[in-house]
Amino acid sequence: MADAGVLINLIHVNALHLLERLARFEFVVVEHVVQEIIRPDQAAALAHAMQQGWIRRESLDRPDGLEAFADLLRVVDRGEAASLAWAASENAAIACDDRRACREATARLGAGNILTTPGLLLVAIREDLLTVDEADAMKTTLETRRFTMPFRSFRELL
Amino acid sequence: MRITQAALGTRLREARESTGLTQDEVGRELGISRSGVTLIENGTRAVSSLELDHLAFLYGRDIRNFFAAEFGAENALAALFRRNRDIADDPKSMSALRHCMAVGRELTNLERLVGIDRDPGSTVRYNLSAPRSKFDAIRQGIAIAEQERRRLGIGDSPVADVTELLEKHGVRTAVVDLPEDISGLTVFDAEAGPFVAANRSDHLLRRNFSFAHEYAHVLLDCDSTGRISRDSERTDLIEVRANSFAANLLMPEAGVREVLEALGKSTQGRLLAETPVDDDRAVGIEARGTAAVSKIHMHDVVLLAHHFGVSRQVVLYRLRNLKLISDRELQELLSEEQAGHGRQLEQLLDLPEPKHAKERNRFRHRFLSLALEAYQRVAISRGKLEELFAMLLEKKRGEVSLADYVGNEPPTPVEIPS
Repeated sequence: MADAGVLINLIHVNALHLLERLARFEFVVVEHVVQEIIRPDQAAALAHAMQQGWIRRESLDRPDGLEAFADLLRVVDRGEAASLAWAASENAAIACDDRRACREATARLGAGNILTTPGLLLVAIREDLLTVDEADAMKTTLETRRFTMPFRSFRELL
Repeated sequence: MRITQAALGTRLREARESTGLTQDEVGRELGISRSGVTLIENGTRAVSSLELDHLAFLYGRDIRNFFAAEFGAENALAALFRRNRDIADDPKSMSALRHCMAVGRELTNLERLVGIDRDPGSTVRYNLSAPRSKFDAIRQGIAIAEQERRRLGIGDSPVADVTELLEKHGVRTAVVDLPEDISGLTVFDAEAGPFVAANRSDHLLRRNFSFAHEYAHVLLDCDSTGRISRDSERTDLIEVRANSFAANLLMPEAGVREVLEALGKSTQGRLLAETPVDDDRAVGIEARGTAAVSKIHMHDVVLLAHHFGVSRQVVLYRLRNLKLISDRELQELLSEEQAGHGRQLEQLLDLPEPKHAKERNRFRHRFLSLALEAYQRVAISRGKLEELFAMLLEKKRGEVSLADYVGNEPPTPVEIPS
């Protein structure tokens, strides 16, 4: 389950295609997240990814999921709430970066069920989908959007 | 207890029926057919999170209501609309009120998140019998305004900011586009507590009076689900009482006399006998006595209006009620005001003009600062913060950029599912 923040990060570094190729994961997006991505270029990129089957669109409509969604709206936005609620009701992990949303994810999904943008890029390196230099270049691009990571290079993590 | 799809459908049907909306109307709002709404309400078709979110807004409810152990089909806003079809049939007013109620609930949520645990039922109430006459209504209004001033510890000073005073005491406030005949309204919401709105098209100073008027309904008329204050019903005794309260809360007699005496006026007058209902009308009763007051001029009126944050018309009627001016003087001063002398004097005295456009959104400040505080405490996500700003500023989510105001998020660590 992918939240808008991670998707927008990947769109910014032109790496949405990685979602198809990361063998360990199947990516899903809920309607609220699709609605949140309103910038035309980003919306088009997401639509293309869904069309190509890199990411599957789902609706949150099970009563237990809806109840969790309603409760989560107190602390996170609609996209994060719907993503977390869907992940909880389907026993899935969540791709998200926000501190508060991650805290809520740990509480509801248990530890070890979060994939952050740096985590996703690291998996891509390990699966030979990206080189370290390419991932570092993406890191630099994301920093210009005020998205930072607590290390200088992905090389430190290998 | 987990709710089933069928039970959720039943609750949605009950909520819709309590608002008086038809399945056709709801279907149009959701962009689905009437039969789609029927299927959702029968529990045969699942409702999506997008639809449920939209329905909660449409029915003026907190989305969590639908999953509560106890579900009340009736809610305050729905009841008010059913009794006042002119508002219910005005899509602009309806939408604005739903929006304000949603903002009110978010504000309550923010207060809880930052540790201000306000009990919506804890607002002070005064139990009075219904007034039997205009005189009784006016007297009750005066007495409660005096008690409230004492309780709030504001003595005879001006109320610096009526909406801030209301918010501080647990009353949600909003400025809403309402039909011309309506100056304001009060709703008692189970989650958000008392909620009052003033008409956006009214001048700032008139709205101050409207807020004070609605505050009277909060304090005195909480036995109903809410009230709508219409100009056409100003002689209703409950409305007379609320007007009397507002006039006395905003311009306490002792405060008025103190200001006038500081201007070198003798103010030995007779008892309050009338109360303004708005800028240019008054409800009157008989009173005896004579005034021995130094003549009050338009420049005194201008200063009083500035001092108490009310319109010059309200000041004029208040002065007459306090018998500090005669009926003839009132008419003369009203003519001067209509000729624009009040405004000219205000400029001559170099008194700042209230910033109508800017001040109309004053109620936002507290909400936004609480949202920032909740974000700084990591009680809400950055996305939620953006959503709240967009909601309050009535912008699209993508149009709100907080990057320059709230700084960068801390570095995001590597996390990979195990």
